[in-house]
Amino acid sequence: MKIKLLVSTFTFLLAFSACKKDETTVPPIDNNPPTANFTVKKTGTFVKANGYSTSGTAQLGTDEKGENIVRLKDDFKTTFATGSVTIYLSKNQNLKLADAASFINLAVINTNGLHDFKLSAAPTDDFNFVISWCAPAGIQFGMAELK
Amino acid sequence: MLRILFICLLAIVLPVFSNAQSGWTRKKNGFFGKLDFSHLSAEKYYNPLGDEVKTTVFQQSTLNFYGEYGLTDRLTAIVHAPILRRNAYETTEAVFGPGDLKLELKYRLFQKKDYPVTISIAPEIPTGRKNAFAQNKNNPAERINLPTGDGEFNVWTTLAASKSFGKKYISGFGAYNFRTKYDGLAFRDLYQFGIEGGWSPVKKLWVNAKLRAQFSNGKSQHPALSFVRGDATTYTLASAEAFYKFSKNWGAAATFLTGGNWVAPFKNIYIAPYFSIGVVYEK
Repeated sequence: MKIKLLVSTFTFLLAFSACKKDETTVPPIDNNPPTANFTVKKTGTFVKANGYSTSGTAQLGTDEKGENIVRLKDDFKTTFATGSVTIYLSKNQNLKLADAASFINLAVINTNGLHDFKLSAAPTDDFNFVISWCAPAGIQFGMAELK
Repeated sequence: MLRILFICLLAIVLPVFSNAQSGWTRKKNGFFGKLDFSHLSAEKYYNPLGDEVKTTVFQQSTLNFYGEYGLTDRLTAIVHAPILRRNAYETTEAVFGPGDLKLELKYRLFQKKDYPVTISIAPEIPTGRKNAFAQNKNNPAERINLPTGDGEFNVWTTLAASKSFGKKYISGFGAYNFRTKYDGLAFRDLYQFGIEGGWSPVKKLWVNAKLRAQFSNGKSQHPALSFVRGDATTYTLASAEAFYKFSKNWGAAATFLTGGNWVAPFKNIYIAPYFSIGVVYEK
């Protein structure tokens, strides 16, 4: 009788785990195609933060129409095993979400490599940091200082 | 990023007054079962370097079943079954799923008077959700993977010994966790040491204290495994437990658990005081 109870428990657990859905697909917000004739004004290299790897190059520049663009070059790499990462242009090397004037939210991404983010207006000269941010946990993965 | 785990992100289960990591086995046809609920709420995370990082609040709740059955006087079958787990950050929706099922066989090697020694083999089957993406409440495009299982098959081997002194006892154990791979990426093996002391101060009431340290056989080699799947998590945890038997077969149990950078440092783990309460049936 007790053995039957244990076997029933195992069967229930295995059946339950086999029926669940493992994946939830969420498309990235960043759908901008690569920009042609990109002119670099500032550039920086990512340094990792909080023990998590982020590497590669960030740039601030303009396209042929004079629109302002933040670019993550094709060497950009971060940890997406956790889900998604949000990219910010910031006045501070540590993102301050409580100060809405100190950052521009560029996009949510979930792939490495080249990304271009068009800005609606030219940023002031004090926006000198591109930040890779894990929004659910509220921690920074990396930062590139633009010079 | 961040493991709970795990839990670590992937939950720490300490059976109350079971024989799991002791030198005792159940007598033939003897049964011990416990259904408990545990809850962790933490914002203090130690990253793989051992640095403390403050995050938004992470919460994990688990409904857990633990059972022992005496196949013979020397051989006990044990099941550790996290039936349902809930993971969430305060910023995200919650994800639900079962945890990884651990099945254990424990064999008493020998017993000299009241000094038994056992060895056990416990394969852990990846029955939990290998991926469970929790969406941010404010922006559904932002999400984080909070799986309810690590997605990997592994095996614990434990050597344990105990000694009783009337209404008191002590136990000690050493354990090695042979881990395999997830998606072609190899986990680091783990090993643990622990001690436990128990006492019955009044009739029907038992209390005990445990100290357990977990070490990793090196640093995680894969960021994709580290936080999300609890690779190379190390810690030292201390717990206090109480078990009151209110009838011949039934009892209630409560556990309080905390930790410190004592024997093994915190790495890749959320830390906060942790509570569980449960109902026990023993025959």
